[in-house]
Amino acid sequence: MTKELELDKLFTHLRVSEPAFNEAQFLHSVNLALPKKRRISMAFESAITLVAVAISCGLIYHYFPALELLNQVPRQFMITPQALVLLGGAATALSGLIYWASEVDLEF
Amino acid sequence: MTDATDQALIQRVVTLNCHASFNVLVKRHQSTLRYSLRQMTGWDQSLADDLAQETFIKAYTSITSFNGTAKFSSWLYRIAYNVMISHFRLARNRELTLGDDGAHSTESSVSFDSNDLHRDLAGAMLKLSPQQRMALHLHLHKQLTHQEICTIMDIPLGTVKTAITRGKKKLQESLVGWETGGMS
Repeated sequence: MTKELELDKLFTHLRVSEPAFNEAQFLHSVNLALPKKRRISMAFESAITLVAVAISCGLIYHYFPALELLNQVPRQFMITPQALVLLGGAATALSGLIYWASEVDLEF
Repeated sequence: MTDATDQALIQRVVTLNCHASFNVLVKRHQSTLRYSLRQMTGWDQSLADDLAQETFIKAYTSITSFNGTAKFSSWLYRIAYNVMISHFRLARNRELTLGDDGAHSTESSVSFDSNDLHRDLAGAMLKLSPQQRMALHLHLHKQLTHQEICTIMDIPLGTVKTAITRGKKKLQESLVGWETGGMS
């Protein structure tokens, strides 16, 4: 038997016994990597967004009790010396806490 | 849809951008393509699957350029060959940049199961150049004509014949000592 024939015989055997690869994983990965198609055009999508925003604004204007809420905001503030000291103390404590936390973090 | 012809499915992908039709094409051709790429890469399964995935993505993005004169599988193999060649070129450039002397080529990174003829042949094929490997695989395994191989690899007929002849010679040399008794 010639070498040529041996090679042909080998490849015939390989052709017959070629394994089949059918894992769903490969198909899934190809599917994920495919560029996603746009179901609607960019212009149509923008038009839908604009209409939705207009409807939302109308509904909020009609139903949201903005004036009532605004009226509940106090018009005058009284800052007492005690409140000022309390605010200063709280700000100092917060700054100290932040500084301490950052220093502790640096030690790691 | 699963029994539609390749041409009909391609038409749906082109006109309707239909993913489902492309999925059928992938399902239909993935096994043979992945097997061929395993043979081309010394049975490096992850590399072969990566190349196959890149091939299908390239096929999807450039499907409008498929004119239908050749078989879809031939067109896929043409893309796969180009993807493979550019991968090997990049890998070689990377090795040169890193100052590798070639000792850590693909050959050394793949281990073979001695009982598996397919893997052993893939290992032996690594001794051939990528061009010879592809030409020989298409000729001996896929049984394509020289002209079809020319079209797929986009090289002249003479180069295909030379690649096949030299590839066969090299492969026969590396197969010396193989027992062929179990293949009858």
